[in-house]
Amino acid sequence: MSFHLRMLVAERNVDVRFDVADGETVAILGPNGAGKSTIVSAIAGLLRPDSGRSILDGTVLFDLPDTPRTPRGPRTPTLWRAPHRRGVSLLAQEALLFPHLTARENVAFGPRSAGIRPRQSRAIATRWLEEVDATGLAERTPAELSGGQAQRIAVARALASDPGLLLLDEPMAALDVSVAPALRRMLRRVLADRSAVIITHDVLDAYTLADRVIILEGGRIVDEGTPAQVFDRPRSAFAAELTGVNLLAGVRRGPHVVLPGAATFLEIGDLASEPDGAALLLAIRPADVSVSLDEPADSSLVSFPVTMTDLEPRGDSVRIRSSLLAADVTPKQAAELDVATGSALWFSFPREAATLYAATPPAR
Amino acid sequence: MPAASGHYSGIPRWVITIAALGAAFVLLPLAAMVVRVNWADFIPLITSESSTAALLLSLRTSGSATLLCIVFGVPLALVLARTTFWGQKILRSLVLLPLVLPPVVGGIALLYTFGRRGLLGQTLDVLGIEIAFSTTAVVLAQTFVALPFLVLSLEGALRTVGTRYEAIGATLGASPSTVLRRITLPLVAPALLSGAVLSFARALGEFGATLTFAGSLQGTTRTLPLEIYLQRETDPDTAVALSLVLVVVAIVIVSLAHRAGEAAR
Repeated sequence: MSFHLRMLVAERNVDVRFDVADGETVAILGPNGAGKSTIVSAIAGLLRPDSGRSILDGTVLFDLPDTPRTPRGPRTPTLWRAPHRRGVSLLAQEALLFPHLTARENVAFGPRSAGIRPRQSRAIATRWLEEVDATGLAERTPAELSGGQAQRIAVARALASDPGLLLLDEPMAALDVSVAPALRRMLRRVLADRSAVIITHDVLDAYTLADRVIILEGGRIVDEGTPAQVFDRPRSAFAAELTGVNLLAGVRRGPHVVLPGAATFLEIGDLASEPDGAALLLAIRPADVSVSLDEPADSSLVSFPVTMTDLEPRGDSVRIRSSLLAADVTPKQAAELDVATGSALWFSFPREAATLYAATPPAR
Repeated sequence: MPAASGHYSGIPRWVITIAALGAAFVLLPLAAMVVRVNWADFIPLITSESSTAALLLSLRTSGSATLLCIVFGVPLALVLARTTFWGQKILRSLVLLPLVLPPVVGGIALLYTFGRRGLLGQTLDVLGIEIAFSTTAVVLAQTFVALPFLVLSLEGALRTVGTRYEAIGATLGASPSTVLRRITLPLVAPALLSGAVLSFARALGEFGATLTFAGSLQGTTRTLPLEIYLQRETDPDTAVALSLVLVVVAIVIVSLAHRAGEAAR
């Protein structure tokens, strides 16, 4: 195991614990305010948690006991390693290249700070500039670089300090959509055998760059697994929204699954091993949901009487939302339904189009 | 007065009129002084023994005071801008106090600190160091009144630059001292330079605290402003000529600093 983190920040209500294996890239996804940046800051050493412990490659980054300080008795020793002695480098949303240094000097900054001679530092910088396809930009100042170019140099700078762990805090969020794919490809290449934690709100980033995904909500880890595990079977409203699926909570009752609000039961199917009363989740893509004015005649469909709340044109389709789920229909269908907010509708979908799974993730 | 750039400026005419009056208020006295200069004897007047002694002493002491301002002002500005501690606001007010304090009061305060019977003076006396009424006293008086200028301009710049570059530098493995030397100071270099120039100019013009704390001994503590004040009674021509020298020195320094500041940007 390469990196271990356990931390608590009471003020921001963040309480997490996770590991990053050697060479593994972990993506943390979560809504704004979930505590993603708090975690990154604590790992980098820019924010001191109330308690917790973190180890990187055998080196203790911090060890802050959670026992309240007692007036008498021996004080529990605390350990807090300064940011520059952690071997953790940070790539932020903005490139933040030092404006008074050239691109090459920026990249050579880490090696120079590590005490490597100027000539050799320059050589290291040149190598990393090659790695990010920025050799031609070496002598430019940050003011002469575009956003995408600057972020490439920033990647080279972060890697040139040879970090044991690389932190990426939404590295593509501030970039033009047109340059993000190139940077994503480059990151995929350089992150291949590297321990890294990447914060993102982009499912594509997680699929492309991460070996494992952590979903963070309200300062707690709510789901964890490979991108496929987490996104195919979302266990949080946030993950469901990210992947664009409807998420319904249900309960096993005997041979059936009871979905609140549904007019029909579902067969338990291959989840028969779940105990009676077990909480289950059902994921269904809006495109697989059909909309009708009357109850569907086909009794094999899972159907819901709903009240429409919102109608949103999305180019070639129209999303009809209700209090329970959303459905995507063609503009023509939407026009034929002639619905308005508050209309009573039936939403239905075939059983086989839905993914049904246990609400609590299996031990991974 | 049409706007030079051709863009809409939105300034009412009456504002421009008042601004012109304000500019005249500053420029007219300077012009009046230039008119009064005895050009025939100008060179002999400003190169007399007492004049050169005063000018050289002024440049020397102001230079030393500026160095002291940098040595103490940079750490002060860093502590005020980058840390939080109890009593920080009070400390900031006290550091900036010489800005609003009458210089003569500053001189008295220094006298009761470093004077022979002062707070530290007695200890220094035992060590054989006597500060009051020496060139050192001139430098101390100038530093006392000039320090706030450097601290003020540097602290503002440090707050504007923020800590994000410094944090990135630290995660790249740079120790706090390396971050200070290679990131923070280069980023605020223009402000440091302009702050140092302001301090130098303030030190150069220092009069009240110097007279109170250091006295007026030719070649030792009689700086140019003191010399001008002294000559005003007996030899107005010299006083006016030296005043012009002081004005020229000030203009040269400010323009040099301005140019350096632009280049650093």
